[in-house]
Amino acid sequence: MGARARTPRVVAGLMAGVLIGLLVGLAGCGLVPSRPEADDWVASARQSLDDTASEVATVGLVVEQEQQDRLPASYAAVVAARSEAAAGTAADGITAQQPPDSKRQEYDAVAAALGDAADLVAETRIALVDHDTAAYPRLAERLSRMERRLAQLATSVGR
Amino acid sequence: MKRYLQVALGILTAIGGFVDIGDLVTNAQVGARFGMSLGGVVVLGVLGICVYAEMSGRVAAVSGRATFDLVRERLGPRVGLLNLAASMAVTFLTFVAEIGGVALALELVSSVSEVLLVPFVGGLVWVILWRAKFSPMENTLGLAGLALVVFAVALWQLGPDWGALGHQLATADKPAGEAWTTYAYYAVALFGAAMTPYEVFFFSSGGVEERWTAKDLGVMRANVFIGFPLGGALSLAIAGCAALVLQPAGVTVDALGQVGLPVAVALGKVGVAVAVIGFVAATFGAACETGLGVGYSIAQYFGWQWGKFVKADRAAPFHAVLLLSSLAAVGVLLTSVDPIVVTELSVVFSALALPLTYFPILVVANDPDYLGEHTNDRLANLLGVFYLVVLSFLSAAALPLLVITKMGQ
Repeated sequence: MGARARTPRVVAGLMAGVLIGLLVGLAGCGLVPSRPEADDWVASARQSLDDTASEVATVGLVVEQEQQDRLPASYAAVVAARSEAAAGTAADGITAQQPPDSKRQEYDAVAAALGDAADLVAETRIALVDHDTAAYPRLAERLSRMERRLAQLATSVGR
Repeated sequence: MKRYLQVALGILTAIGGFVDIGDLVTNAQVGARFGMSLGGVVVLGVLGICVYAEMSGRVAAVSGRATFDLVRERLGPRVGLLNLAASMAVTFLTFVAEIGGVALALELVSSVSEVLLVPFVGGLVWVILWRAKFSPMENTLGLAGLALVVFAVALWQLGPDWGALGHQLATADKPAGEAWTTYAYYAVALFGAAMTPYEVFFFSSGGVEERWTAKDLGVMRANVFIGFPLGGALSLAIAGCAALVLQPAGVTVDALGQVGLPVAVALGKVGVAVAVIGFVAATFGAACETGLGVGYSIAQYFGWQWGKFVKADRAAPFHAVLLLSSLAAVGVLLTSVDPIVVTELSVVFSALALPLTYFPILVVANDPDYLGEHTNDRLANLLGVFYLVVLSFLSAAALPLLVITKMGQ
């Protein structure tokens, strides 16, 4: 008899536990971005910077080959468009996170660099599609500078 | 004379048909990050695929029956089903990656988004699987795949320090700054790309399609022991080109277009055009092979009539599988999943499933009921067991490395 009386209480307790768990879980799925620990944020920032630097280097190589007329136009445009999309994804990877308070200044520097890099890759893609050969030397120089900026930031972030 | 031409054609198609999207992407990724330091893994993987392709080709030639047919009969339906599930899942994933690879290659010349090209490519692959005869399909696509020789020419044209490249390859010298776990992850991926299970199943099923007999063992071995290693040399050339051009430039490979950039540096527009033909041929050929591989494995396991040597209406369930798998592959790609990510996953999952797919071949190749006097000799067994041990180790390491390195980051 006693066991029977306890059974509904146990079930009710379990259900309440499941409901609370669901509520907590759903609260975590809200619109507030994830807030990583400082070390995790630094690793994530370095990864985004490295990925973006690779895309900047890719379009740099494309521009260099285009200057020497060594790439079919459509091939150059597609590679640049893919790099543009990948640079955007890499930037989102860090800007979609809530930076830890201790890393706020570094976040600003990283987000600015990633944004500038994505803009430069997009600008290069536009020039490649338009076949704006006059812009290539200046773009090549800016891409090279951007690569160095991203590499320096990747080294200094978290130090 | 006809015999020599047959041997030459077999070797050439084996070379041209060896490289697929997994080899293209993984070798370029590894070359761009690690130089030639993981080249030894490619060599080891190519020797491994030679060992097991020879075994399964011998089984097909002597018994006249294909692998899954015999695996189920010899090891029972349960082991057969495990074998089928493991290799089918990987082969289907590879099929998706290959169709995506064709679309990516066509995107490079058409500027049309790869997602829009996928239904067209999937439809074309299915029509070829349905209508084309086996040998013309295999020979045409294999020969067109030889266009990838342009990577070997580009490597030579780039004028590398051969001694330095050879030293990297021989000493497996991991670049400073790269973690050992990442290095190990890419080693597993390279092995998975080199020893993809579908190549062995397609090779042996193709032997049944072409009605090999014990008299064809010599031709089969020439294809395997000359064609496959030369195909593996193309993989090394792709890695070498990436090591010489992409690594110093700081480019890590995440798109098919990046794989062809070293060819532009070495050979200009004409070279790139040939490379794109090679991309299309290699991925299209592999899409046909993997598509057929899915159909072959299911039909052979369930004992259905299969193959392209019978009319489609007499092998209706086999052709239904081809149609459904083509539709499913297109459906997966239409979710706009990145085919390069699918490729990366397919080579790692390939490594995971390798022991399950190769162990039964070793068992069947030792059974005198099927092979008579042509069972494995001591060397074949020694190598077969060695590779099973290596594959088991890699299989156990594949998933943990995938998680720890976040897919090689």
